[in-house]
This record gives sequence, C-alpha cells and structure tokens, in this order.
Amino acid sequence: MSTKDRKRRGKWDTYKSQYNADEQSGSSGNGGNSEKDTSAIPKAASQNLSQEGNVVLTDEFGGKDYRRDMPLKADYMSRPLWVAPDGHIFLESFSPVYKHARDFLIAISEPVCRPQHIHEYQLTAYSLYAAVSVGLQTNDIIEYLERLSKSHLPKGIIQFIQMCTVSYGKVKLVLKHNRYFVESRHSDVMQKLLKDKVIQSCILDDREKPVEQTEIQTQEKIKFSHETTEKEKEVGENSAVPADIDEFYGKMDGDDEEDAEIRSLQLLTFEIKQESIEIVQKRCIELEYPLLAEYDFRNDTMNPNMGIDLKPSTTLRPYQEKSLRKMFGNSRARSGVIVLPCGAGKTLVGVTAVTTVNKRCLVLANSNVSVEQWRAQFKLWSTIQDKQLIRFTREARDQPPTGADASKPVVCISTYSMVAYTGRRTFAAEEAMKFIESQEWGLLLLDEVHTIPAKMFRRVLTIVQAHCKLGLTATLVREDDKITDLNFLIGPKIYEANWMELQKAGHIAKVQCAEVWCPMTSEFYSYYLRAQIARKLLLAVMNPNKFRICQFLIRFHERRNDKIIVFSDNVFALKKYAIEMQKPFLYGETSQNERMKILQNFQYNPKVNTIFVSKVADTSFDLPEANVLIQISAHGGSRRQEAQRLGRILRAKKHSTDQFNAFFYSLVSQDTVEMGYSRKRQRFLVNQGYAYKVVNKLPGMENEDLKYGTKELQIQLLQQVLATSDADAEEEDIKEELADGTIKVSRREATMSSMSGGQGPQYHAKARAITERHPLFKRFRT
Amino acid sequence: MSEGEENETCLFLSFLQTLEKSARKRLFEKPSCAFFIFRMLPPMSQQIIVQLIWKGNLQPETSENIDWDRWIKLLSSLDIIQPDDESTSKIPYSIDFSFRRSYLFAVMSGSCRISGLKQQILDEKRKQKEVGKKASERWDCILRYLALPTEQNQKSVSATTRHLFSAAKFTSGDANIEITTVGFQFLLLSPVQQMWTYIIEYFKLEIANGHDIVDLLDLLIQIVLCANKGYEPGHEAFVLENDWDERQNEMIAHLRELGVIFIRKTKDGIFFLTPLLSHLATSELSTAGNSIEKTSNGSVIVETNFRLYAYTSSPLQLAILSTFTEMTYRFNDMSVGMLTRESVRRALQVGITAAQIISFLRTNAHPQCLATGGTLNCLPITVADQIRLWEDERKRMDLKDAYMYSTFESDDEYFGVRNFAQQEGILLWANNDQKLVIVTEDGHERVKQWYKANRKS
Repeated sequence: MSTKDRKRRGKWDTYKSQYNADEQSGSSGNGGNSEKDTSAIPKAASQNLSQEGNVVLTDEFGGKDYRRDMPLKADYMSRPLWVAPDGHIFLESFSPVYKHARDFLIAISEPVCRPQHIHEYQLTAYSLYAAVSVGLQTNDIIEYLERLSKSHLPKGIIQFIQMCTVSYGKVKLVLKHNRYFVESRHSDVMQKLLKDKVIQSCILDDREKPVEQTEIQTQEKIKFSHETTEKEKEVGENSAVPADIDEFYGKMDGDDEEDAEIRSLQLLTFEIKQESIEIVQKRCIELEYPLLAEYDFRNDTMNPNMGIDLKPSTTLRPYQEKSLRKMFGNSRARSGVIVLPCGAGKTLVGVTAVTTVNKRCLVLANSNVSVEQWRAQFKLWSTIQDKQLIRFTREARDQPPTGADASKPVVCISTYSMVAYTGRRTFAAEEAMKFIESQEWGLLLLDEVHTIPAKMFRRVLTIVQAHCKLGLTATLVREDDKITDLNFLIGPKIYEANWMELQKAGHIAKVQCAEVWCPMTSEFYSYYLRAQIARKLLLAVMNPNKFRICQFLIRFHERRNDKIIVFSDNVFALKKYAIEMQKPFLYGETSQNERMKILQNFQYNPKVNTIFVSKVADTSFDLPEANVLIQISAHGGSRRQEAQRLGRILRAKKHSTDQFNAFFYSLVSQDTVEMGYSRKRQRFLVNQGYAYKVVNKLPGMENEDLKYGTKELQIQLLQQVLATSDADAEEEDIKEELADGTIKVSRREATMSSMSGGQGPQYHAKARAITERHPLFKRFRT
Repeated sequence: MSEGEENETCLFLSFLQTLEKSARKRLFEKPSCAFFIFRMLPPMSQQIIVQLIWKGNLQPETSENIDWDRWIKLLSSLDIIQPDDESTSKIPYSIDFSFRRSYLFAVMSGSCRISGLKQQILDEKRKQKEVGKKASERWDCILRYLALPTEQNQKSVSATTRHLFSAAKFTSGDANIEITTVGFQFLLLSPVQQMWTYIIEYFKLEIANGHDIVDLLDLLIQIVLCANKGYEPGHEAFVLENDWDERQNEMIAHLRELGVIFIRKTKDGIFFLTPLLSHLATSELSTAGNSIEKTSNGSVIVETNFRLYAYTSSPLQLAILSTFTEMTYRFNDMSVGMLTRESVRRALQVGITAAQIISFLRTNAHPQCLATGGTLNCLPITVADQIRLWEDERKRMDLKDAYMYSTFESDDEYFGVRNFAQQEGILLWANNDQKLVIVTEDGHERVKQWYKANRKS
C-alpha cells in the first residue's frame, strides 16, 4: 500500500489502537531492562531488541509493518519461520520442517506461546546466553536461523545474535581436583582476563606458570539408558524438507560438542583462589565474558563415587532424556534449569542427574512434604540404599554419617528455609548444618526454583559448595520478573518442554480447563460495592452461588468416582466451605502429622474423595490420584500459581484416552475483581495451548439439593461474612517452616461460633453408585 | 449454518416476495424464470409443487408428521400456489397455471435450452484460461473499494457501483466516502450472500429509478442457468444479442464489472461465464452453496490463546479482520493479530454481531484448521464462546432514562423530595451525604408537581 493510500484510510483510522504491550511482555519471563542490579548481569544481557531505536513502521491497521525488512525467499512455502526484526519468531507447527525448527528454537529463544498451529518465540539476550552455554556457536545459530526463515534474516537480528553470543560461552569455570580453574580456548579472551587487575588479584599464586596448557582427553559421550537412534528413523521421510535445512539439522541435533576447529585450539587455563570465585564471576560478567560453570565429574578423583544407578526397570521418556542430554552434553555437567510441566516427571530427571554425576548430592525442596516425596522417589527409581539417604528437616532428621562412614558420599534432602535459616538452631541442627557446609557437593539439585526469593537463594549458594547446580521447575515465570536472576545464580535454561506435545503423547493428563461464572447474589453485591478490597475478595469468595456451584461440582464428580481437590487461598472460606460440606481440610496451621494423614486418606481411602487445601498445597504435593481441581479463591493474578495448581492434576492418568481425563475448574464471581484476576492468571496456561471454556450455566443444577438455596440462608451467610475480623478476610500467609522445629504461627481469635464444630476433619461417606453420564460431563467431551 | 434456522427464505426469494404481484406473474410466464425459482425453493416447497403438478392435489401421507404450513405459506406468498375452494384435498391449494406450464416446459427441454442464450463454438485459441483469476480480481476490487474507499480504489469501480453502495447505505458521505455499519456487515457475509445482496441491491435501485426489472431478471436468470454443473468457465462463450435493450446492456456491463461474466472486448460480441457465476446459481442456504465456500481457500488461523494469523496479503481481508482484531505484525504473506475484548467490542459497538464475526472466521478458516478441527471446530470453541460472551455482556444492562436532582437548598428540601419519591415508589436511588436523588422517568412530573405545590405552601 503506497503512502498515497495511507492518506485516506477513512474509518480504519478509528480502529487503530496501540497494541497492548502488557499482554506480550508478561507472557515470557524475559526483559532484562527491568533489572536494577545490573552489576550481576552482563551488559549484553540487558540488550533488548524491541527497545532499539529503529522506528517501526505501522501499517494501516496498526500492526508493525515488516514487509520491507523481510522480503520472502523464493521457496518460502517450505520454510517454517518468520523472524521479525523485534526478535519475535513465528513457527508453523504444521510445516514438515517443524521438528527441525522446534528443538533449535527452544535452544536459542524463549517460547512465548505454543498453541496448536503457530508457535511464537522470542529471541532474548538470556535465551542466546543459554544457547551458547549448551554449546551452540554464533555462526551456526545465524546460519541455521537463516535457513529456516521464510525471508532473509533482518540485519538487526544478526547483529543482536552476534552481540549477545560473541562474548558468551568463551570462558568456563571448571572445578576439578578440588581446584577452580578458569579455562578457555580463546587466547585473546584469556589475555584480556589476565590483564585485568581484579582478576589478577584472584589468581592463585603460582607465579612461574599462570597459564598452563592441558592435554585434551578424549572422552566418551554420556549415554542414557534408552537413547534411541532417532536419526536413523528420520532418514528418507522428509521429502518436503529443503535440503539445506535437513543437512544442518543433523549437525545441530547430532552433538553439541565444540567445533573441530575450535577444539584444535589450545586449552588455556589458570587457577583461581577458591574464596574469590564470586569476585571473579562478577568481574567476568563486567568484562562481558560470563563464566560458564562446568563440572568435570568424570575426572574428579577427589570426591568418591556414590555407586548408585537407575534401576534396570526405570525408563526415561524421550523428553526427559533430551533434557539430560543437554545437561551432560559435553561429558561434563552444566549448571542450569530444566523446565518441565508439573507431573511430567521432574523428579525422575533429578534422580537420573544424581545417578549420572554419582557424587555427593544435596537436594533442596520447598516443603517437608516434598522432602518425603523426594526420598520415596529416590528409592523408587534408583538403587540407592537407605543409609545413603539423609533427610534434614525439622521433623525427620537422619544422622549425618560419622566415624568411618563420614567420608562416604550421601544424598542429602532438605528444604531451602532450613539451610538458609539465620536464627539460632538446635544443637542437632547445628551439627547437620556443619555437615552440609563442610561437604563438597557434586550436584546441588534445586526443586521448584522459581519459588525461592533471590536473597534466600544467594544465601544457600554461599553456604553450599557445589560443583554443579541443577534447577527444576514447571513455570519459569514470576510476576516480579525476578526469574532472570536465576540465569546468573544457577545457570541458563537448559531445556523447556512443550506442554501440549506431552499431553498429546499421553505423558501428562489431558485437562479440560473451565472458568465457571458464578453470579453474585444482589445482597452480596451491594455490600461488595461498598467494601474495602480485602473484604471485597472475601465477599466474592463467599458468594452463595459460588458455594452452590462448588457443592454441585463436588457431588457431580464424586458420583463419577473422581478425586477432587478444592483450593482456597482464603482460610476463612476454606474452613467454612469444608465444614459446611463435611470434608477434610488442610492449611498452614495443620500439623505435619495431620497433613500426611489427610493426604494418605485421600489417596487410599475410597470414602475420602474430596479435600480442601490452602495454598500450602500449591507446589510439590504429589497427589497422583487427583483428577479434578476446583479453585474457589486464588492469589490475585498469579500466573505461576495457576500453572502450579493445574500441575496437581497433571500426572498422567491410568486410563488415558483421547478424551479429557482431568478437570480444572476456576470458580469466579461475576462482576467482581476475580474476573480480571482470572483472565490474568490464565495467561501462562493459555500460552501453553490450554483453552479455558467459560461456563455460565451448569445444566442439572436446579435438580440438586444444594445449600444456601433460600434468601434467608444467604443473608445469614452474609452476616457471618460481615462479622469476620479483618484478619480473617485476608489471605493466608505461608508460615515459614523454621529450622528450630517449630512453626511460627500467629494465632487468631476465632470469631465465629460456627467454627467451633470444625476442629477435626469429618469424613462423609456416600453411596457410590455409578450413575449414567451427566449432561455436564457430556458437554466437556467436545 | 446457523442462519438457516433463523431465516428460512433465501435472499432471492425474499426479494421476489417484495415485488409486485403482476411482476411475479410475468416472471412465471417465462420457463427459465419459473424453473430457476423452483430451483431456489427449499426442498419441502419443491415437494409440494411437484405433488401439485403431477398428482393435481396435495395429499400428505398420514404417517408424515410435517409442518406443511410453513412451506405453503412461503409458496403462497410467492403466488406460486393459491387457495383452491374446489379442491377436496386436506390441504386445498392449487398451483398457478402459468407457473405450472412454464415449469413443465422447462423440465422437458432442459435448463440450457430454456436459457435461450446462443452459444458460440470456440476454437482453442479463443478460449479464456485466466477467466477465474480475472473474475476474482474484479470482485475483490469492488469489495476493496467498499472496505477502503480511497481515491485509488474509487477509480477501479464504476459510478453505478459507487451509487449502488451509497443507495444501499453501505457507504456514507459524498466527498469523503466512508463505510457504514451495514457495509461492514456486508463484508462479513459469505461470498454467495454478498453476491446475491449486491444483485438485489442493483434491482432495487432499478425499481427505485422507475424501471421495470422483469426483463432484467429474466436475462440474469438465463445467464445463471447456463452455469450448470460441470460448466467450464472460459471455455464456453455466449453471444451478446443485439436486441437487448439499453437496461439489459447496462446490466451486462454491470455483471462484467462484478466478474460474474467476462467480456474481452465488447465488439467481440461474446461473453464468457466465470466461476463466480456459480455463487448466483445457488441459494445461500443450500448445502451446495456451503461446499463451494469451503473449497475456496481460507487463510485465517485462530488459536486458543486468541491469536489470529492470516495467511494473506490482501488488504481487503486484512481490513475486514482488523475491524475486530488488534493487528500486531504484518509480513509479506502473513499478518498476526489478537482477538481482544476491546477489539471485539469495538466491532460490536458499530453493530457487527458476534455471529457474523464467528461465521466469518469459520468461513475463512485455514485448511490446516479445517483438517484438524472440521468446519465447526476450525475456530476454537472457547474463542467462539468468548466472542458471544463479549456480545452478551453488552446486553446485561438495561438502560432506562431517569432524572437526578442535586444541589438542594436545604436538608428539608432534600428529605422532602426523597420521602415523597419513596412514598410514590418512584425512588431509584438516594444518597444522604451528597444529597442526590434519582427517580424514574415517569416520576419526574409528579416530583415537579409536588415541588411546586410544596414551595408555595
């Protein structure tokens, strides 16, 4: 369209509006510009493509017009990518070359959204850093991207890739023989580092030979149990794939070893003082050569091997294998983060990593329940012996090995708060901490890394000396965008799985998500409009219609023999709902003992099919039986919480068919703030390809005898809600599990007489006849 | 299609209903017209005609539980059948005599022969191979003009079309032409609906100008009848007759502009049929019509996360999409957008309906979506639901006029008015702090009277 045309756009002008940037930037945890503590992050990392000065043309409809920057290639039809100059990449999932492009893009960019047909990725400084750290070379990245792209790569993109990758990955920090070495094959870089005053001061005084050249040992590649030779299968089936892409794919996929020509360069190393590692790391970042931490565990003779392996019966799924291949790509262990959906077997990946490294290992989880679960998983998958497993929590404290066994390697499992605790500890805890501090850990396994505040994290990392750090998480998003810190505290993202593909392959449950709209009753709404925000939230949760819908859904699913978890962040609502419906409930103040009891009953007792839980159960409560999740109140617009909660029901179900086998309901009171929050919360999952079905009418509800059916009862409930103290109206604060073995709890006065009856959980038995399919259920099977 | 249930009568028949009875009767006289009308009728109505023609009366099987009334009503509104007092049948109707004769004549001679157009045998050289492409270019030009009435686009359409769009209220303004809401809705229609709507608007314009349209309709139908199954566009030429009158020639020129027929040069004396003609050969309600639309290449992918990807470079398509989409990226062969609440509401506000948006997205679905989702799920259900919900949420509020009183001179005055309104049951809302009273629209007079009365006393 020529400029002449643009003069007269008529009505279209009014339709042009600013693109809502919020929608986009929020969807991926990128954005180096939000960093304040820039010293901890290399400058290149704070580069942001979309912020660059170039004026972007917009077309007559308000979109960014890149037609001039991206002339199509002649054979663009057979290539799957559009690479926009602002770093966004669009991938056709139905292209025959999809497979070739997918793995590559995951390595070099952040997935923004991956629904059914077209996936969107974004090139960021961090993602490129990650790409380099798993062994990709600058030129290979550009070359392969060029070949996959429908048009020639915009110049800005090439420059950006060069700028971000040229300094990354050149220098490595290697721990071997208990000594720290900085190593590189690039002599110019080495020279630069050696000339730097700060670094000079950190070099171990070994005057005569600061730079030594080491022999390169040829190392065999690490194999995982069931590594299939995928490539053989692929040969011949790709007739529609342009030859240049196919040929390059072999190269990219085959191995991420360094290029031969680079390998032929001499390996230069110098040793640095152990206590000044952090200074060197920081300085190197300032010098734009961030250190990649690698652990050459094969050549570590100082630390004894554990001598454990996976059980022969243990099999890894392809994506688990792939993620581990990336981690151990060059026969050493890289530090980094592996992102797998909840229920996709993160624990097994962790266990396999431990058995591969086969050295002392410290596992940090975020709750005592998950410590127990880790222990069980270790015993389930690996040949580890009981005495090699040490738990260090406030409840279960196994003795650290003493005497002759003291030097024997162990797997120690603990919680973050336990290790990072700064207050006084009991004697036994003190002893255990000394043990942890004194050990040289081969692998530090960090479960649910996204939940840990950066400060606590730094503390953990200064206490624990580990050769290699592996973070595991399902949701690499944080509302505060602190996720980027992880890149430099642990390492880059090594692998991220695609939720929809795992679902299609049956590795995780097929979940139907539904947002159920509950109209506010007029009495509640009139108070809602006048209330303070905390009270507003409580009124929205206690909406009698929501209660009725929740009760209806529970009944409906109990008849189907489903196992139901109901989530509520608001404790008042949690108790009220649970007591009214006579179901067991569990929240922050519930003791560990009672928690385990409730969870076990839920798992094995056929009479307990529904439990109410607060946000303590958000992460790492492994409840494989659960397949229905109802959320009645949530924490604002937290995308992470939504994804984590979904994770509670994601574990693959036994009877997996094409149909949905798990259900996720989010109950939302209409016309309240919950609506907006709900939309926000869903964004992460929607970008993973999940679709939320809006339900504003539940067929069959009128035939059920549900509570709060009459106006009088509803007004009674309203009075109860209004009579609550302000503290009750607020969300539960997660109590920190303190190291001295107590839970610090600020007890509140119970203000409601009705709560007196609810001390213990009451189990409600129900006739469990399998009735015919309910119309509601049919609706979901579209 | 869901429209089928709402509107039983196709555009063409609805238009026939609006004609004068005499005009309809004259159409029945012509075998081609009678035959074509028969073809456009819904199957049940056809059934009735066939029974009346061949059996002489209408004797429904007792076992059949069919609502005949609906179909009979349609036929009698078209004057094809009329009540017959003499008939002994349970449903006493008889068929229009000339319709019957014309129909029988047409059935016995075949649709091509009754069309009455002279076909010219062509040698290979003169066959028009590109006729399909040229035709869609023509049609696109017209739609593009409507979507973006720029000066450049104005040049590519005839004055008649411009006049027609303005008469049909698709565009507004004389100097600064802008598309109207109705125009938008036209753009969202399926090609068959668009084509028929256009043609009918043309006839309406002719009628408004005082012209008789029977001959025009006849000629159009004759042309359409040539578009039988298996006709080869560009391979068959028909003679432009010299005895067509001025109006007819003008219509031919118009059809040429639409791309329905192709004329290389007027002095060639022949015209070709184009693939677009098949749009007119069917009613927009029939299933055959749908299948044509499906095979046409859609380009739009809508994802469950409300992103929209349009594989097109056509400004027209993008212009239509951008009425309810937030466009974000424009590449040479593809554009990216988002369906947001704001963007959809914008469209709803100008009068486009959710059903129109949904059916447009379904009609234009990318083959990939059709392959995985079928004709219904090619647009994710959740997205379709959401668009409807966005429409519904606009209807949740009932707007009623009311009167608000403020700036009372004293507390007494305020409480007086408030209490009075309360007693009368016309009080809607009152706030003691701000001294505001709102009463119903009808209540205003009473408050006024009361106020006057009280102030005096």
